[in-house]
Amino acid sequence: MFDGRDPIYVQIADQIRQDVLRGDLRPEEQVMSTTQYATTFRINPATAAKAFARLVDDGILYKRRGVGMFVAPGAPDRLRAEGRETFFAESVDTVADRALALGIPIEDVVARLRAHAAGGAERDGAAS
Amino acid sequence: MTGPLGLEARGLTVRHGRKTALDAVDVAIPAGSITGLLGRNGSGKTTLASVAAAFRRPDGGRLLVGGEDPWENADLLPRVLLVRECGDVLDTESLRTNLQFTEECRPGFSREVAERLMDTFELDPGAKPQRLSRGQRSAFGIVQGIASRADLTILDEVHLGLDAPSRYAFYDALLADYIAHPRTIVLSSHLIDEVERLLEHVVVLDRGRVLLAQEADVLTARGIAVTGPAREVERFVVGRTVLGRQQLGGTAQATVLATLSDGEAADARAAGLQLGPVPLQDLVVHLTEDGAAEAAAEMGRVR
Amino acid sequence: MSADVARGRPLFPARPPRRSSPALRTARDLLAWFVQMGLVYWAIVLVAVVAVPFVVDRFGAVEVSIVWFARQSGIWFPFSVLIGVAATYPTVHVASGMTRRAYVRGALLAAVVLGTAFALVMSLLLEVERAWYGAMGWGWRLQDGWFAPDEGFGTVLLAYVATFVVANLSGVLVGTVYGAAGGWWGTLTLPLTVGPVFVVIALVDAGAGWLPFADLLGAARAAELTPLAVAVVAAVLAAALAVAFHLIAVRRSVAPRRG
Repeated sequence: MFDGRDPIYVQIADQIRQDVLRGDLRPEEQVMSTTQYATTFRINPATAAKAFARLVDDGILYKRRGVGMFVAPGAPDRLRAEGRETFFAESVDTVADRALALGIPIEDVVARLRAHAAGGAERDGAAS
Repeated sequence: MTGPLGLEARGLTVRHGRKTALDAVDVAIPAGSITGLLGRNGSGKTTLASVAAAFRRPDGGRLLVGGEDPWENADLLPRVLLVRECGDVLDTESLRTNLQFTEECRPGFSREVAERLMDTFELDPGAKPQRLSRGQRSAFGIVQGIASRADLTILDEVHLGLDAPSRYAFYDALLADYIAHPRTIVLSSHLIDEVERLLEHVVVLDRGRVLLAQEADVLTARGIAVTGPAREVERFVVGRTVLGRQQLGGTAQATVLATLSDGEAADARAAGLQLGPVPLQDLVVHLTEDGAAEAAAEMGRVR
Repeated sequence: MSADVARGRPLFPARPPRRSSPALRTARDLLAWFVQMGLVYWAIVLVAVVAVPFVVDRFGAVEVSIVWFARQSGIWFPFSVLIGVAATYPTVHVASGMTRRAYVRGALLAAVVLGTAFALVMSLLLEVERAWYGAMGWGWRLQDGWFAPDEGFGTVLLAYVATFVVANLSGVLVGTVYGAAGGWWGTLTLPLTVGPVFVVIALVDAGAGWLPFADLLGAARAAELTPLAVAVVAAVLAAALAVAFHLIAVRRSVAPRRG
């Protein structure tokens, strides 16, 4: 893990965001301490702390003095709102551009998305 | 009178005979950090460490540890530890005797850590250093280095001869004990890929001069590997500092120094270019190649 | 391999670590390491001192002390061990976070204590040997030196202390010059670094003849003053060796072991 193009602390922050979005980390749930994180993933604690500080600044986590870090109550909503914006800007617009370049009608893309989403729902249902 | 000790060199010059090992070096290593001391063989890493640990005196300038000159400093030196790759041990005494000797000299020494690490590395306390293999000697240096809990701990190429599992055991032990007992750790290693994530700060030496002294994050974010159609790559690198280039058929990869805005990154992607990180290892290799001094200077200006 | 066997013994003693001053610790450690080798040395000396008179007795008359002969080994054995110590130990000392000053003080203390201890043991051996030879009906005298057969214990002890302490300091200095400046300088300076040992040996062997103005003083007075004169010369030489050792050792770099 952590082999993307961003600095490690950005990648750590992104990963925790993903955990919150997917519901693996729920609001008011305590997250790993920076030192636990550092030893578990063999990372400099200052780097881990930087990631957590970023998440606190962004309102995803909050600190309880002497206890630890917790997921902020509104974190999932906040992340979804942010995610929606970047999703359209980075993913959907790119798909539209590529489809246009390849001469694929947008309707076909939409149909494919629907089919994929339905399949995804079935997969989730089977898993649970 | 404990706590992590920082290091600061001002105009530090050291000569070995006619050869200048360190040439008016200005550098600071922040107290409490894990700092990577990187560079090619003969770049001056060991010499810098030797002055810090009062193994030798500088020929010019000065080096301060925790704001004090370490030379013959009886209060400071027990808190400063340099473990060299060759190992400075009592060769004719057992490892047990050596550890007891170290314990008496080092105020922060932890018996528990020493015992645990002797087991981790499967070292026989009754063995004498002369009889040990290269890897076992390194492992014993690591045991002393971590168990001493010196406020400035410099580990110079202590991984030599260790197999991969032992090296990772070393990294884990170092990190765990660093967290439990914060101190300044200076790690000199050629295995940059392996230690990169342990580092908060990086100092790169080249031919007795400091090429770079930066936060590791900032450093890695400055290097970008651009891959794509050769024509697009050529267009992208115009006006940027190129550290390295490779081409295979119509596809090229260039390593450049740049901090891209979101817009620039998006434009590059739209042009079919892939932007990737440059591992610290590659960055250091590129920067310490012949003729790369200007690139390094550019990099050093951006802090 | 034998790790499991060795595990049976704890890595550290039950007592907490000693926290004495670095100089005292250094002296104690140096002496402790020396004792390991010293025991072997004394065992060999004892065997020789006991065996040789019997051998001599079979072929001729026992007349001279063997212990007094053995003093040469008491000079050169610690001397050579200390060369090795002074050449190699300071690296470990500095690497362990101690000052060169502490090493110099510790090494000087160890050299003096060691020399004095050797002198005491040798003097006592001499007394025992003398009594033993007397009981066996053998003749007993010291072959060289100003010592008459009835010379007092104190004078013999003084001669030993003077010789051994100067020899030990010389050994420490020789090792330091070799370690700090390399083989060329180490060898070139040998007349200066080892010379004092030969001076003291020569003085002890020469009896009262070397004293200046001996004629003016008269033979009896000169013989009386000789021990004092030996002590003064030895003290001056010892101080010179110690100062030279100090000046070199506190500046010495711990050389890189490779390139």
